[in-house]
Amino acid sequence: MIRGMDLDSCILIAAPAREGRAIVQCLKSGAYDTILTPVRRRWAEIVIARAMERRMYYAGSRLMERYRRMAFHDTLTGLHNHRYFQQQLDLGVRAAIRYGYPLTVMLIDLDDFKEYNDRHGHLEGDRALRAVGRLLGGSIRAQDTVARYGGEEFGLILPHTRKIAARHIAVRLCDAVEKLRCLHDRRRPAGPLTVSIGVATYPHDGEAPEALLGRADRALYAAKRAGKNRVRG
Amino acid sequence: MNDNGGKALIIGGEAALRRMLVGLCGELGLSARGAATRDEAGEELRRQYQDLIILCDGVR
Repeated sequence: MIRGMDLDSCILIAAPAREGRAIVQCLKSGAYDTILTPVRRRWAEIVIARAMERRMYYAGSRLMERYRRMAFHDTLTGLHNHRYFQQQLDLGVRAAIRYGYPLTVMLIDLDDFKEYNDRHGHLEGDRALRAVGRLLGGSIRAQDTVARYGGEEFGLILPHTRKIAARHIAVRLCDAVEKLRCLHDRRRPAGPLTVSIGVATYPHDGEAPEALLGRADRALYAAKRAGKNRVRG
Repeated sequence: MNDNGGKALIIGGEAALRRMLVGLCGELGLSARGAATRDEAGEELRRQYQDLIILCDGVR
């Protein structure tokens, strides 16, 4: 009977003690506790009160988890947000300094996104941001971080990645975005959406998070000035 | 602690046992309903009264 019940609910079993084996089975299947019958009021009160305490505790935990997710995630793309990116960059640079390995930061900006939005509408713009976010999220290793840095800009943190390898990765990402089929629309021949990428690597380009971000930002604008859809840094 | 507006659904068992548990939950500040079977409780009631579910004869 317990099968098919909503296990978000707190489930109690009311049964006689002689059903011991079956009661244990129910507890293993997710029931929280047992009220033995015939019911002893005082004991039943305690079991129900404890069950409700537990229910409230889990409801509170779920709420906390939701707030935590809201604090560190971008609602449009589902990626991490700017706050989380900064936090991970601080931790990442500290670890890179301590253990002496390279770390690369990339800033990725959608080219002419304002025009794309004006031409196709904001819903299409949001769709494009989600598509690029999905592509970036699916292109990284477990130890990397990808976040929506703000507006039409994304950030990547790649520990244990030297500049040369990072440039190859960035070029691959540029190509992959350009080939995103969902951003091609024959009825609207505005050309594919592209990205420009600025790359900065610790320790070569700086030894502090702000320095690396500044360097990646300047490299990103150099890529824009050089004609967009390219990598600099 | 239980004047929290929680909702309890008691399913199965004998009517007397259900009445007794509904009364007990009420005394503890829960809004409680009883139903002889899961079908009688229905999806809507199960959705509404989902804080606490007491399955009587649930082991059979």
